[in-house]
Amino acid sequence: MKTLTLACKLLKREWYAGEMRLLMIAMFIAIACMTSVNLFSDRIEKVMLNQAADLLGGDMALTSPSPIPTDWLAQAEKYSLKTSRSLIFFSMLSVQDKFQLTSIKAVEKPYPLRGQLKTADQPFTAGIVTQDIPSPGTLWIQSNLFPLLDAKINEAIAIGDIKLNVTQVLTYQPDPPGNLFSLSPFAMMNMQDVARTGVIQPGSRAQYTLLLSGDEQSLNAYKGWLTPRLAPGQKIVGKNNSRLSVQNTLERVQHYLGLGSLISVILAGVALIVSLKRFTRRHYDMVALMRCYGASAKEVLLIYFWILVGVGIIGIFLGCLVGYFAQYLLEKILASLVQLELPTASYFGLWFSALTGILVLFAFGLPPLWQLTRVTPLKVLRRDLMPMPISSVWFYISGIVLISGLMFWYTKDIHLAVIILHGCIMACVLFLLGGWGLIYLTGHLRKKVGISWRYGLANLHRHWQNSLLQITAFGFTLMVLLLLIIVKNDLITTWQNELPKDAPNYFVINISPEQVPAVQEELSKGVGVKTEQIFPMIRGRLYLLNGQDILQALNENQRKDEIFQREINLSYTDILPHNNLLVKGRWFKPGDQQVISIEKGLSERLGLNIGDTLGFRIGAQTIEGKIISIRELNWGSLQPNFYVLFPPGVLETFPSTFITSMYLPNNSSSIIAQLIAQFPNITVINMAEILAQVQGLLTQSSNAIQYLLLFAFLSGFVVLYATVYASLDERRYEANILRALGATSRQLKAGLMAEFLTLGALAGFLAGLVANATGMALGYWVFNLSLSFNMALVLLGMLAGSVMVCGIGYFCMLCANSNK
Amino acid sequence: MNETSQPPIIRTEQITKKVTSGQTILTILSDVNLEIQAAETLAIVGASGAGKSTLLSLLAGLDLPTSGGVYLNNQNLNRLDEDGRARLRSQMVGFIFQNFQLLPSLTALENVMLPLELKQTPQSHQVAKSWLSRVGLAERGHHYPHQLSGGEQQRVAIARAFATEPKLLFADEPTGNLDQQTGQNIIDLLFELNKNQQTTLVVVTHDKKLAERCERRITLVAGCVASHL
Repeated sequence: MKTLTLACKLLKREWYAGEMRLLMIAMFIAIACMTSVNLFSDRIEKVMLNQAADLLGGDMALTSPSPIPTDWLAQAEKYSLKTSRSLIFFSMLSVQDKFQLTSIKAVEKPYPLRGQLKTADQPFTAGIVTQDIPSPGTLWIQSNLFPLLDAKINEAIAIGDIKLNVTQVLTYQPDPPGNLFSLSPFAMMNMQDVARTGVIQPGSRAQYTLLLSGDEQSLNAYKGWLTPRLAPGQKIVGKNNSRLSVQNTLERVQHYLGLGSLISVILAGVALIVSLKRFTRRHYDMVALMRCYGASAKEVLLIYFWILVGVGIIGIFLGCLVGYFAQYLLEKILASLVQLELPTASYFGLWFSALTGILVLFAFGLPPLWQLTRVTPLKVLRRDLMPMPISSVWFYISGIVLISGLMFWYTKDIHLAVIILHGCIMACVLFLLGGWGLIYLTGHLRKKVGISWRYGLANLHRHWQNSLLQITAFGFTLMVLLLLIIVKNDLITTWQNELPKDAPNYFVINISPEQVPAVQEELSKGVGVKTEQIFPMIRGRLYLLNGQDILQALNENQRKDEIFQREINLSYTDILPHNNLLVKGRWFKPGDQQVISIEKGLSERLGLNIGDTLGFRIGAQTIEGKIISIRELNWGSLQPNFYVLFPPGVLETFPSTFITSMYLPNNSSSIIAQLIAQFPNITVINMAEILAQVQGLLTQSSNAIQYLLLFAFLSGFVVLYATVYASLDERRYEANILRALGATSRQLKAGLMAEFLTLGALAGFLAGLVANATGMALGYWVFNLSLSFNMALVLLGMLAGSVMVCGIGYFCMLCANSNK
Repeated sequence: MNETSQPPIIRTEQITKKVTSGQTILTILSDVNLEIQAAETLAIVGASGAGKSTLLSLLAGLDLPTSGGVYLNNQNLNRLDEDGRARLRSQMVGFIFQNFQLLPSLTALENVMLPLELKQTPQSHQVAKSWLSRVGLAERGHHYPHQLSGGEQQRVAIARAFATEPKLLFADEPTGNLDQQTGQNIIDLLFELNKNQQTTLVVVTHDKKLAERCERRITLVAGCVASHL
């Protein structure tokens, strides 16, 4: 109690001393950033956990790549379950000469069984809840389709063989698509119109869904009845069961935002250490006096502990408050990616942020405070007596433990957390080593520059530890920013540039076998059209390895491979596709049976080799094939690519559709119009649209990360301020000497600017180098692209670093001097 | 043992203090024997580097001797750990320093309150205020140290030292940083308060006038007691 009372009094008295406010601001920024992310994540979590049924549109759903047997519906009704069927497919919508590939959901009443639909009368206005669904002959479309199609309300839109009238704007629907195509526009129509469109043919890519609702017991009973009857590709989705695709997207959003917010937390921790070091140093005399007047080491520690807690609580409170409002901006930035109406946040996000704040406070703040317990009372007589330093290992250990814990919390994946932690440590080591080298080099330049620059560079050199810290803090943040620019622009641009000018720019899918000759003929008529080989596609599930259940034969990591999450496309050909390279084994010979050729990446991921036998379930049948060759292929080639190829004569009896890609010169929309008019069931995918969607997705994600980086920059500001403030006494002393020797204010300021300018430029230079290296590594290892070194990015980093650090540094000095 | 029946408030037995500087061992104090009675005033004088401040730090329990014993209020300080000695100091010791040791972030009043708060003295605010007024600074309580003159700062330090009503007061060169006139005023104030409070006063000083005001004086030469008056 005594220590608490004293701490309160001291805190009150010390409030106006700079370090306390700095501590508070560091905590405030980090907590505001974390709170906004945590609250936003919490709302997403809430949607995923508590509103799974609303998301799904029912309590349970059966999804199937083929129509759902009618007796299954009858059986559901026997269990007193409510049912509703829906169908999702991609098709081209058109109004005159405007086309747009759209995700279409056909529904029947009652829909949805859980959750709600929202519509509006005009595009881009707020929707209201409706109990209706589109009536036959009408279509509801999402706002962004209106400008894409130049459409208006009550205008007719062509879909396949028919035209539907747009009567409403669809603003919200359960289970929005949550994959890459989540950015493609969506529309809703009545199930009764589907057959008339002619879009859905046997083998067409579509997802049939049976929504179910009812009491838990009936649902479980029906599930029990249904499960043994499920064919490959059919699955039951529901609460505590399989996940919705949108849930995976949301979870990834949570992970990346959480990791993004960690940058501010780390920087806040650094600011905390720097400012607390000066704070404790300034308090040695006070502690010596307190010890002299009878305070024990424990009491001293407790007094300062309470002060730290007091400042922390103010920072945490303000951070939570600002973070609460900041999350709404985050929601706005990510609106079209999340596509959901999020509930209000619970207190958990706030509590979690506050708890994190307290942990940050202790992990980063306690080690410097511990130093105070080593102050000897004898210091009152001998002021030169300094406490024995405590090992700095504790600073690093406590910080790393906390950050690792938070990384694990945000990723929920120890493997990913370890990789990211390694990456961060490696980047920090690069910054520290590079920074040290550059500071050393600039130190040599002192002899060749004028007085102001010499003074600035000398300062940089002499406070090298602080300079390194500043370079690392700013460099790291700048590096993330520059890396976002690379990912957002350079990767896609490089890929596009690497493609030949006549590389395919359209995919044509869902071609039924009997349409193949006609489609090929139609395409050959087009002027300038260059078509690729046409491939059959048969969907199958990989399930046997050398006669054994493959999941049992593989290790845990291999079992997580995305190939087991879905059916894969199998194909057959006697000619090695021209973008494929045989790296092992031999190509098919006429008469080969029960042999296959697999893709190199797949063989590496699953540890497969020549001679292994894989088994696939296609419909109710099993087909096995021995691996006789391994192919390397370029996934970015915009040509149909397959993990597994069979020789002719094996898969022909299974239902299939065909796929091809083609190059269409600009202004060839009439060819597409004709193709769709003639074959309404086929789907034409414009790669430019897909790329625009990918770029849109990247832009949105990077906007959100950039928003978080704003907090990181503010934290970097605090680090800079803290380090400048920590060296303030020394700086003032030197400035006074320089003044006494005749230096003008202008010269002093110029020296200071030179120091900050160099610091920012060095941070930006290193950030540019590391971002380039990371981008090139990403390109090479992940995207198989050879990214060239982007010098402009390095220059941009140096410019941005100099301007920012200079501005902030100057501001810091002004503030610090006004606090004299 | 002294001829009076009261045991001395401080007693030292053959205390020696050595410090290591690089490879060399320096003897700062050598075999110092001393007894100080309650309410007595004692001056420790000697040239710079004679070991005066070291002796003061050992007597106050701020440091421990290399050999020999220091008994404060009959308690062997060697047997107490750092916190134990701190407790003992909080009960009976006050300090005045050459450089005043006022905390720059605290006002004059808050500086006086600090040891009272550490000791959890009730109504520390009032007590501190009354002591400030006794040293003639009733109106300067809200001023920070840098707003006070050297003499005023030392008055605040004296108020702080007496505020806890210690049995024993150690003063290290209390007039060392003051001009002659101000120093004289401080000496007068110190002895006046000391007389009223019946405090034992141990002063380390170069100041002859100050030393002469004390009942006893010991002179240190190269760490040894050269004379005892």
